[in-house]
Amino acid sequence: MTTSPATLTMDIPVDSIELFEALAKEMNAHPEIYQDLGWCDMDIGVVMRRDSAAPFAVALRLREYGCEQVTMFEPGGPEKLDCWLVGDLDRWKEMFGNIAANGMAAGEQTLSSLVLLGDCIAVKGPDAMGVDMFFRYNQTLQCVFDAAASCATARQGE
Amino acid sequence: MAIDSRELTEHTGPELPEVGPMGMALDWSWLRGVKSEWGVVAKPSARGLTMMDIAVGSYGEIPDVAPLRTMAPRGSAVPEGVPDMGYLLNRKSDVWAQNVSELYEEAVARQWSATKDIPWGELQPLDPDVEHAMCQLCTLLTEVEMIAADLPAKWLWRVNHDFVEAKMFLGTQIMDEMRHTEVFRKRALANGGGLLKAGKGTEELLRTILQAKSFTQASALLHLLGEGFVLDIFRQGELISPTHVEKKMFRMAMQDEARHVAYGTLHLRQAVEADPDVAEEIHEALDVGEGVIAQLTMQPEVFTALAVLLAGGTANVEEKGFPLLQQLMAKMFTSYLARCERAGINRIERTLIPLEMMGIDRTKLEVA
Repeated sequence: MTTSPATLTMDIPVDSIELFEALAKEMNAHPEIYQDLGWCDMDIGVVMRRDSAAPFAVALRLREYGCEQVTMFEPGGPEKLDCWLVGDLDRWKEMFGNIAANGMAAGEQTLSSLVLLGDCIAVKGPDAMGVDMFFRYNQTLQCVFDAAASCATARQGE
Repeated sequence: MAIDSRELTEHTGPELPEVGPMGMALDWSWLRGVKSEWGVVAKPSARGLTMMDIAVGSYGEIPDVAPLRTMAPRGSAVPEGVPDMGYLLNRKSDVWAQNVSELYEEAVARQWSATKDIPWGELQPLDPDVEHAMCQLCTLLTEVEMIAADLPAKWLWRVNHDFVEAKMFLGTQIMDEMRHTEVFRKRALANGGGLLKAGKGTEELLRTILQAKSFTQASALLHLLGEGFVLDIFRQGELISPTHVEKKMFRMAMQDEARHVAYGTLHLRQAVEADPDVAEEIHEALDVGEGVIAQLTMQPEVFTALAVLLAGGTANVEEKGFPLLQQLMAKMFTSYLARCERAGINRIERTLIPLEMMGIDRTKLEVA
């Protein structure tokens, strides 16, 4: 019997607040990275549609060079966000898996690519300025998500 | 505001000399009489002292119509008889956008260097067809990016100094576009391909933008139409980049371009809200601009280069490159129409872009 090579996988479930708290912690631990990119003030949501459960929705409050708060929210509720990214849980898993495997999003798994193709993940917002922020702060956001690589662990493939 | 001598405060300090050591009359009104907001303190926020932080008291009041046409700082006391600078854009709605101070600060904070922030040393030899395609795209981008510097530069000196925040933002846009010209020129030359074919259609679009009759028309053509399309090309950078070097280049440029589009969108909205008749002026400009940009996007050297990059070479250009490009172009035009909506300009029924030909059902267009 042969075993597949060791792969990197996410150590924390993708649809969990723990993952996003870990991303926030990573961001706050490395202000030097974000200072280079310039400050970022935005409230962004991540919504993961799930087959057999209510959508998982988490909001990140990004201020200056860090993340001030991570909270769960109810999609369509009163949460005031600049924009939010919506996609099926499987697409998010694929994206985070790609980050885990490569150390950063590669190929068509960057946030910008996924949003561009549109059928994967969509960027939504209450107004023009909010949606624009996704593009204006894109490098910062990509760095925040790429930090998920540090939450990954090497595992033997099954 | 002119100095009003009736407002001179009573002189309570030591007597001041009226004549200087060389016999000239001395003016102490700046010390004793100017109507300033003495005591109003602009307090820095966490990131420093921003333009938003200093918009305090009357200094933060932007007049709907500038009372004078001088370079005197807004909020200062302006003596009688200062020269008229002949500014042409004297209404707030001519240039303002509600987010302009924030965008200026953001631009300053997010500057980057095309010399050191792109890992040029990590460029790899590419398939010659892909290198050609990247160089052709960079030739186009080098050609078009400077228009977004030239155009604000053309109008900048005509903007009333009371709208200094808008002038400052446009200054950052000029710097951004210089850097874009720089980065794409550098990419074309950095991997042995060089600059390839300039475009006649491209030049026609640039001339249309540069010759716009008003700043608001120019802004519609530049920020909404031209930069909106370039922003979408930069977004495609994630798909068309052969290596992480180009990816970074496009991603950094995308952030800048999105700021410019954000300014233009809200400037146009402000202009239309202040004077609904302006909407028709914008429509007229876009009637012309859309025709030109539709030709530009169909220009063979643009279309083929993008398709080769999307396909990762010439081998799959028909199976992968062209269909993907067609899909992305439909998105580009859809995004443009959505931006028009956000700016208060409904183009869905009026647009001259052949939407149906691109597979866009105009009845299903959704405003994001």
